[in-house]
Amino acid sequence: MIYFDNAATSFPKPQGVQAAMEDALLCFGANPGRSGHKLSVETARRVYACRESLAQLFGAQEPEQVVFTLNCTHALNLVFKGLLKEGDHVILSDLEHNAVLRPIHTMSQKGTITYDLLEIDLDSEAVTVQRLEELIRRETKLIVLTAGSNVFGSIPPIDAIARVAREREVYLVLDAAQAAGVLPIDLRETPIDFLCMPGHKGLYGPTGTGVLITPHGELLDTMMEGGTGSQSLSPQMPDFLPDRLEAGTVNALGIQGLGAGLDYVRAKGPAAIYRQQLELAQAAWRGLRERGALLYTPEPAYGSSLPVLAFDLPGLSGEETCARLDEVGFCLRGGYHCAPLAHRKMGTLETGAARLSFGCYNTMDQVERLLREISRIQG
Amino acid sequence: MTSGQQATVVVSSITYAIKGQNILTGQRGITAWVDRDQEAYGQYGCGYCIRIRGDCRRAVALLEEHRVKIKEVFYA
Repeated sequence: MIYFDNAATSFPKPQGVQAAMEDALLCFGANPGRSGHKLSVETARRVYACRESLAQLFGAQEPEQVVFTLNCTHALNLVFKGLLKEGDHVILSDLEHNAVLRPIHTMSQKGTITYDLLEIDLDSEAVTVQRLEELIRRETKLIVLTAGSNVFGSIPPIDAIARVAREREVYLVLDAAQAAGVLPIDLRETPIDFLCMPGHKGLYGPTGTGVLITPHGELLDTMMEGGTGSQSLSPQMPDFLPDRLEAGTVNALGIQGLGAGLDYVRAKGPAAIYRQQLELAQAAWRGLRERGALLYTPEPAYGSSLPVLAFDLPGLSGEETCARLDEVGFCLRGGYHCAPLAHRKMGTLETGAARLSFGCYNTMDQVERLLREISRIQG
Repeated sequence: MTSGQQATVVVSSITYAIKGQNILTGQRGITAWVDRDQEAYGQYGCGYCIRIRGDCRRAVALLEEHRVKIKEVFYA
């Protein structure tokens, strides 16, 4: 089996992740931050180590600005539902995933907020910035931007948009679902107010882990209330992070696995990971083009593309292409990828697309085997 | 031990307790560990604290500098 579906979740996970989770199950399985016994404190120490590692990797000011969530969608919802008030206006890019579109659209349908789409010009940062400037109005509170399309790999001009957001005093959410662990992201360099990511993709943790990093957590109303192990006698949620946004027991098992995933990513370095995976994406793109595939992704280029490709084979839908490849042991995703905005933008709303997405365990040999199989399917 | 050489720093949560201990560990002349203080637990509903031995006033200043949320300090 050869796995090219890392945009859905990375697989396999590093051995260290398995070892850390076994350790957690066997030795550090207490509830962190609830009890006073040694095992609870030791478990909490491991959860804290993961928080600190995330803060270091992404340049957060303090580890407590790192909030553990169930996934990236959960992190995004915490921001939208915690920050936005009646009458607020939101701008989201036309590359966004349903994790952004659906909560924002739902809030709009309820009459709470309004929103506009920012058309990203993939060839011109200046045009994108001008369009953004024209969309911002007095009520605009939030800009939501993907760090890279989950279908096409396209990277919008993040720094330029962040600068405009800061100048116009609008909060910026960066959805780093595909970019965390792949693109270097540093909050000390780019003014991002809310950074949302999954733990189980480019950070190589298990599913059920996600992260929100923000210096503005105290501004967020709570979406969920419950026990935190702190201020236990008060009926109100704590006003400090991370407790304010972490009601109920955190996923201590998953977080310990995520901590080991982070060790793996930090040892390799996101910049090296990005270069390695982009080389594979470039080789696959060229091989697909030589074989007459319909490529919806421009040739992957450093800085403008994530290692994610969308394509179809002539005469086959994306789903059919993936089904044929599955029969001979290749794991790809076909169809719509939960991103109708991006499909509309790239002209694949009617057809969907097959998606190739790379991870640290993919090799050039695997790419060549895939291309040989595609030649065989095309007869 | 003389006054100012033992202290219990009650903090808001386990996160701040571990953060505080990590900050103080390795500081010359300061020993610190995470504990739970029963009296503080009754008062604050958390009770996680950092027990300190050594230059406690410098330790508390370091914790404040690193934005550790301190509820109360008891000097022995």
